[in-house]
Amino acid sequence: MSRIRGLGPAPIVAVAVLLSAGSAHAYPWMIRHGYTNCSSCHVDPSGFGLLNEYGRAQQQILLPTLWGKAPDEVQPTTGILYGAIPLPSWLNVGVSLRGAVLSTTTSGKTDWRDILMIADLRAGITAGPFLASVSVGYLPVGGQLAAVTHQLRDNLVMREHWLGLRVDDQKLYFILGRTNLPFGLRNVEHNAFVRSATRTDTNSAQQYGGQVVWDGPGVRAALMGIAGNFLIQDAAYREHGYSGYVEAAFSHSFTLGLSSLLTNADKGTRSFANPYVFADPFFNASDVWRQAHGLFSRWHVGGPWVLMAEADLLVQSASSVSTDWGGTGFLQADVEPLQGLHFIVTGEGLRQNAVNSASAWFSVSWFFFTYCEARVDTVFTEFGVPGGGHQSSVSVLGQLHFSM
Amino acid sequence: MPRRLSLLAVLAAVPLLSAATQVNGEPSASFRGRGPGGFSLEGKTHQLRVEDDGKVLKVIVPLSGLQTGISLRDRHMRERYLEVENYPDAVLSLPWSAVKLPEDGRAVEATAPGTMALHGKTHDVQVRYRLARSGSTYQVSGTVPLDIRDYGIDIPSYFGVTVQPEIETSTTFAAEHT
Repeated sequence: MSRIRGLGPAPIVAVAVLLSAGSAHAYPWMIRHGYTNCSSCHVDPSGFGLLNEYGRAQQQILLPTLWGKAPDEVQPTTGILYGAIPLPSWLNVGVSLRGAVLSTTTSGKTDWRDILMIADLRAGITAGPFLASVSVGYLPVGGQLAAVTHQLRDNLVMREHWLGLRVDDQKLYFILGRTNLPFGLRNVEHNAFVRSATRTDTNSAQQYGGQVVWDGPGVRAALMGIAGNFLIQDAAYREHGYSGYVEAAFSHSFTLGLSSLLTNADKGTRSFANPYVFADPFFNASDVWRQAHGLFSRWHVGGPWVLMAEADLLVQSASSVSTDWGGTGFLQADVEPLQGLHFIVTGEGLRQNAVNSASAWFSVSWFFFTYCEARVDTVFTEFGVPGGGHQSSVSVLGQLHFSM
Repeated sequence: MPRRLSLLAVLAAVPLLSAATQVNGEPSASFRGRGPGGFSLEGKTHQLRVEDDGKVLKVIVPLSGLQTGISLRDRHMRERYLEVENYPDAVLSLPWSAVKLPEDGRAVEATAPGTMALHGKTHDVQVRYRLARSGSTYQVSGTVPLDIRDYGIDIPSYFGVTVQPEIETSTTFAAEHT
């Protein structure tokens, strides 16, 4: 209970947390290379995080700037530490370290923070039909929903831990454990409204449950029965329900998907992605139902251009609380003029509690060396304020990310 | 000398004779392969030419231009599997006698027997084609399923991802046929 209440800090800190960027690595823009599915490279068939043997090779071939070397001259190694430690093909090991400096300016006041966003070790097995994945990490602040220790600071986090079985030539998967919710774009910007408002980010929104995943030719789909986030100590706040998507690849360059999520909890947590909505009628309300339904798409327009879009209807209701009808949208253009160097422009909108907010992101992400990324995001946000008006916020986030 | 001149004249006339069918615009040829789960890959090229001696139509695709979207994969495809230096072209041969031509303004879809020469081997294939006619211009599309093992091509496998040997090849082009 106290851990849930602890999730509602002062607005400027909340804005800073909201605007801090990507938690991990999941790159839907890999459709640029004709990849419409995720399981080719990731242990999780819906994408994100730990890479399999093929993914580790592609990470070296396709992601970084090659500094004069032709892409077809790359000799990838699937061992870790630049090949110094070989791995058997069934064993997958990874490490992700992401540190950042964030400046957030709101009402003329600038707040500076340095953030350790990720310090995770990951391991997994892909042995014939058997799959397993686990991540263990440390976070000095935040990430309480994934924390297995219960301190205000310095917690051990386990975002994922699950077992799986894959059959039918790796088309059909059964997964049991704590996993990311299958919903929408699995984009790296965990604080984008489409991720934070639907609570489907890869930072700490994982839940326990069982998933059935279909990864077939031209269609991928996943349906998860959500048993709850058992890392929340007070069971009344745990959500139960389902989350899922169906995505069709109409070609190697265009996909369109449908997502749906429905959860119920005995008591509501803070529910709005806009930190300026102070009075949250769903917080501590009884019998809280949360729904999100929407469409998402990935499109390799041609050359270096990829567009990604998502739009979701948001519905929330609870006992003795008026139903809140809202929505969120996300449109992102990713341009990679030189291998490894991405210019990213994102527009997003949010309506919750009859308050509208909008953001524009201008980002540069540079995979300047194998496993190494530097990224700068400048985010202009107009948060709607209940009763009218807006609160402007400008944040600049610089990150260094090592992911292997 | 006159004999040599007449030989030259005959050789010069060959392109005119074979110009009974000529490709217009930008043609495309592709193959589609699948791997485990939802893995798939597509190789494409816009290099394609036809040869027509009035009896057999040959669709010739130079394989060196095939691109799959990943240059290292293209290199492996060219060097390890297709061995393009030794076998530069894929050649689909269709006897005109097996091809149904539509009337002006109409289209026809059918299957015809032909042969595919690839990687130094030739096998009979069934060609599923569609011809749409406007005057002497034909929009042509065709698909040929094949098994690369029949052509002595190793099954591509890379860091745990193995491509299935059954692939589908397809071509699309516009042609003038007189």
